[in-house]
Amino acid sequence: MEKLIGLLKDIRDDVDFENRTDLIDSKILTSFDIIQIISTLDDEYDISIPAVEIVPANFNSAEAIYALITKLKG
Amino acid sequence: MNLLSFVFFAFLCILLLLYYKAGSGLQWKVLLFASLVFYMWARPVYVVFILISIVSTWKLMQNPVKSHFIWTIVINLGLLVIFKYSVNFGIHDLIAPLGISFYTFMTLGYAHDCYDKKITPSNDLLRYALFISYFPQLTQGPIGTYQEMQEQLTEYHKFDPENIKLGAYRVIIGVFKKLVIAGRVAFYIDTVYASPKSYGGLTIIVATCFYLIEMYADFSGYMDIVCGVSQMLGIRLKENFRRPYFSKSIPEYWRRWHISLNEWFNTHLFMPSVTTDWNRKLARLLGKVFPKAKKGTLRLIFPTIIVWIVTGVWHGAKVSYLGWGIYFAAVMLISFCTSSYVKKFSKKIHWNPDNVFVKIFQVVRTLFVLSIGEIIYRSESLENMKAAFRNILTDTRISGSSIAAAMTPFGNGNQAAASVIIIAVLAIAQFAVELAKEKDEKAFTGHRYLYAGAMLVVIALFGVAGKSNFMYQAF
Repeated sequence: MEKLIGLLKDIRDDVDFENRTDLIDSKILTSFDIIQIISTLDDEYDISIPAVEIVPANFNSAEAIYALITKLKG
Repeated sequence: MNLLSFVFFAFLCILLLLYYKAGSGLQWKVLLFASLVFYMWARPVYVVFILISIVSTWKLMQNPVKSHFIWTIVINLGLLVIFKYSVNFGIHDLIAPLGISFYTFMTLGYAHDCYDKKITPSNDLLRYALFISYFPQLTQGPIGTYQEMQEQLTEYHKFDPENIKLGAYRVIIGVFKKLVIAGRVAFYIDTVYASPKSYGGLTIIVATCFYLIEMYADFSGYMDIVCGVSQMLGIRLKENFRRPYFSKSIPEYWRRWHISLNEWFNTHLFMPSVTTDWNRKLARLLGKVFPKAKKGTLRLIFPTIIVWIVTGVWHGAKVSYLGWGIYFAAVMLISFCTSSYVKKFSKKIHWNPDNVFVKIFQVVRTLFVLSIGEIIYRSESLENMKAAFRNILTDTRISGSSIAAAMTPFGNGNQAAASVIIIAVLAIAQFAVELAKEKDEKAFTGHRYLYAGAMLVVIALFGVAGKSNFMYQAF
């Protein structure tokens, strides 16, 4: 989880990834940020996030993103 | 059926009567019947094509496997290509079925969502037929999604006088924008853009500014009319505009203009392209050439180019539309690739993004970049486009004679002065109307009678009755 927070902070250092649970719902992350995130995750975790998983529920918090990685890894 | 005609007014009155008289099981069927009547009004035979699309997609998506999804794409895109594009190659001279560009996208969106298992396929052909053919959104959108629309369309709606009043008020706002504002400026734009080589740079700049006003007033006016009509039926359509000309960047502008089309492209073309294997591989190759570039940015390049070329061609098979698509693909890519540098630079020179002057600068910059794209889009030929840019770059002096020349497309003397005053007043009025619309959407308060009355008087006095076709109807 710490590694993930670090990667997310590299993309947007102004966002409180530890506590926010409304990253998409409150329009904190733009679609541009989402693409930076999926592309970093693909490389760092050796996964490939399909379009069908790019839904608000999977990107609203760092925890949700972590759950998505775990799901795709498993 | 033209929305600005007496026939449509009579159609709506009869529909409202039957719709609210019908019981819960029958109400949505009345709506389906009315939608088919609306569709068949001008060219009854053309209903065949929308029915082919509805029945085949519904049937194939009962079992949304890959081969069925591909067949749905082939049938629907096939019809679109036959009607919309092959006419340019002289193969036939058939007129495209009403709203084909819009209902094809709704159909493909539905099929894609079924295939991706985001929705459960409809098990009722008639209910699905209403989703595709619901008449307010059929001709020019908004492009609704099955998730948003299905329940609303088929559930029972009790008569509510507030909905009728608010809906009618919204219709009046739309007619005001279309007939008074878009209608007033259209003549000037048509005159100048018919032959830009005959006009000085200042005149072309004025015509381009007017074109921005016309496009917004025409298209958002149409949306106000259809959203108002739909509200009278108790059904809320998706909003297609969020004051786009106040955007601070071009990517933001495209999130606030024709929202339903842009969301469609984002969901069904852009994001799937970003996540494909070939795009990942291409991004890796590009990464070797540009090792310092962000990986995410490299993955945006090809999907952005594809989406903008398709968006351009979606408007029609014209070089100007293709040029417009390529232009915006380039602008978006420049915006994506430079955003982190711009942020760093802004911090360095202590630009505060919340400062009002910084915001005004960003809005003006966006309008400037947008105007260049609209000159490409509006020019009817390559020659006209070159003439427009040449005259703007070489022949723009602000002098008494150039101002007098810029007045000529209005007509002569008093007519020109009157037009300038009317357009200035109307542009301010439109802004006021927009603000009032957003302020208090839920209740029909007393002052709305006053606004509605004032707008009706202005429509009667200054409305341009001959201009009742809407721009996006052509797509």
